[in-house]
Amino acid sequence: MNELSRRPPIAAGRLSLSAIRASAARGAGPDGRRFWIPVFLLPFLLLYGGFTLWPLLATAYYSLYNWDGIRPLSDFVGLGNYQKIMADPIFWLAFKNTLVFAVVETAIKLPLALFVAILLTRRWLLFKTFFRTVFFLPIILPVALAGLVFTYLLNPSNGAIDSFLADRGWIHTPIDLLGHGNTALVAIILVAVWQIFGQYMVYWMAALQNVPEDV
Amino acid sequence: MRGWNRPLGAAVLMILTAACSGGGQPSASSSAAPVTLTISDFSVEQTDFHKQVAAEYQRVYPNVTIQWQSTAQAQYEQTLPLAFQSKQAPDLFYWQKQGSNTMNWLLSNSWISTVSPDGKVPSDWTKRWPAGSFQNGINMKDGKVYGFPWQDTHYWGPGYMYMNKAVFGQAGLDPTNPPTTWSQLADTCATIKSKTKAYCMAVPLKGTDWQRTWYAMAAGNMTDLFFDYKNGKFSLDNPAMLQTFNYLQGLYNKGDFAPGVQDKSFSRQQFAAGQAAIYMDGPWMISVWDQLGFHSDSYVVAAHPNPDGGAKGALSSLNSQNAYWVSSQTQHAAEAWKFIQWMTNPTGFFAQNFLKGQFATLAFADDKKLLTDPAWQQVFKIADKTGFRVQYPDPLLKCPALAQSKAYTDASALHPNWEHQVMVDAITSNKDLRPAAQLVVTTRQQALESELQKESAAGLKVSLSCYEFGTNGWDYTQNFNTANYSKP
Repeated sequence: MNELSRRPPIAAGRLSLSAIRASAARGAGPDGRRFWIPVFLLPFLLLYGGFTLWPLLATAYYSLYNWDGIRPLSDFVGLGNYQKIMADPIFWLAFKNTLVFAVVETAIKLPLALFVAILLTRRWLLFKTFFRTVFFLPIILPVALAGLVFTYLLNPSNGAIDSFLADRGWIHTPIDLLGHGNTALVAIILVAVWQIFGQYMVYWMAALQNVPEDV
Repeated sequence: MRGWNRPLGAAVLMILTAACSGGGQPSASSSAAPVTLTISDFSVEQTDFHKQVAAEYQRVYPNVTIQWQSTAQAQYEQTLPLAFQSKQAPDLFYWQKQGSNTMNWLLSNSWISTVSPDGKVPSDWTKRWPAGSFQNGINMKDGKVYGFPWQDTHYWGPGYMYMNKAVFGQAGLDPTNPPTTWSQLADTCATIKSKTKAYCMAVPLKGTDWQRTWYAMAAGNMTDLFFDYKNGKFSLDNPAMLQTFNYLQGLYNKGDFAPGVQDKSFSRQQFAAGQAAIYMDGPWMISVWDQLGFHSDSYVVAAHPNPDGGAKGALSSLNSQNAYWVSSQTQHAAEAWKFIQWMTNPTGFFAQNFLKGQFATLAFADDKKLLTDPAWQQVFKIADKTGFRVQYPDPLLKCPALAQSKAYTDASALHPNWEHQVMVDAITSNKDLRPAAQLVVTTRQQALESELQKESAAGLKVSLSCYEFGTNGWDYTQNFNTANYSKP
């Protein structure tokens, strides 16, 4: 007989006392979970606390002071900084621009992504993989790099787009899209849509997998 | 136990010696003991030169190792305060953000100590600089020297016009006969535009880079500062300033500026690549052009053009280049002072090689003799002409109590770079600058005057008159007579 057969049989659903003690020692039982959960959470909590939560709280605290970032914190102004920024027209202009950007960019990218996703799920479409890749590629570019590339492309002095249009005689003076408030916002929205809509296209395609084609 | 008496006694003696050595003060180092002197600045382009300096200094003083750390300016201005807060400040550091008020700002933050351990300096050291370079309230306090002028303020500064010889040649123009008036500049631009494919002027408009063109042109009509020191008033809405702006806006609208809101690097490259004929900036461009492979045989330097009726102003010169300081946290005060003396030797290794590298001019060296590039010779000739750059009055010297005042700093800090923002917005949108300029001036002026009143009410001897020098007979085209500081 082997070692195992000399052990008393274990009734279904019940563990022997020694088995319970052994599993608790290994941390597998309820007491053990309470120990290991925080242990596994600790690294994340430390990083989150140190690099997200603490800076957030510190920023909120510093915002109550008139502080130049160098001298000791001494000039408590309460909500004075917030009052100043609320009265600043440039803050409201930035707020408005950000709101317009968010709304218009979303209003363009979602329907566009849906339209393209529908097209790419049609059986009759050829080179689906190629188009899927091309539309998805911009998302893997870092945002800063995409911004830099388009800054060069749209540069009115020697950018490729202006040069192309001028060579064909379609424009006679350079168009400074990024140099004027309204056109700059439109240009930035279009570049943002170009960069991100591939991601939404993939989401739509995943959802459309479950929708019959004839629908 | 008897065997322990001698070592115990020696230990007690050592402890007593250490305790009595005055631990609160930075200790003057023994010249024989190895010392590492750390120096910090943001002159990243001088890194190789700093290595040469460290090697040479160690050759002369074998026990001293120089660790010269240069980082990019934005990063430097963030990390240096942190270094002081964490008691890890370098022995010597570069700081000049507050202009002529830098010393007072650094003292209020307890960042600096005197250049020499006891604050006294020999007269043969101060004689390395022009008379009047050491001023109480600027780089001296209570008779002790805290700083020393680094770059000169006569040649160094904005206001020079660089002309691309090739582009001028294509237009049939002679760059050695540059435009000297606004009308001539407009005519030159029209010729360049009609006869070449290049733009007339490469003008950076991004952020504060617009200042490179603005300071040059505004100085000829009034001042290159945003404050009117004749009348004690912020000045963007002054008719002379608006006139200068309207002139430049006219050039922009005619297409004489290279298009786009470019940064200075782009504009400089445009000029060097022959895509623009004219670029305005300071003499630091000579080394910048060299790095771009664009040497002084390819361009000519001239003074900025003046209004057609003649110059009504001049570029400003202030004692604002006191830049290297001894840290209050240094443990090597004596070594730091020795290094400063070695560094500021007008004919020494540092001056000779610094100027050979064309990094800047030096206030304590014979720049004319040591900067031999032909472009530098042109710069010297331009700056030496009467009225190109004049000594401006400094409110700190009229009212020393301004060292404790925050009124001007706070007024200027409302919307930092506001003047540049409104000008660039007006120029690119073809708007009238006046309404925005009036808003800027009114806001800043109200802040300045109300803060001065509060400070005065609290007992500080300051007022708006500290900033008014027109009553002393001073005009923007003249050097300010320092004797007038004592006049009411």
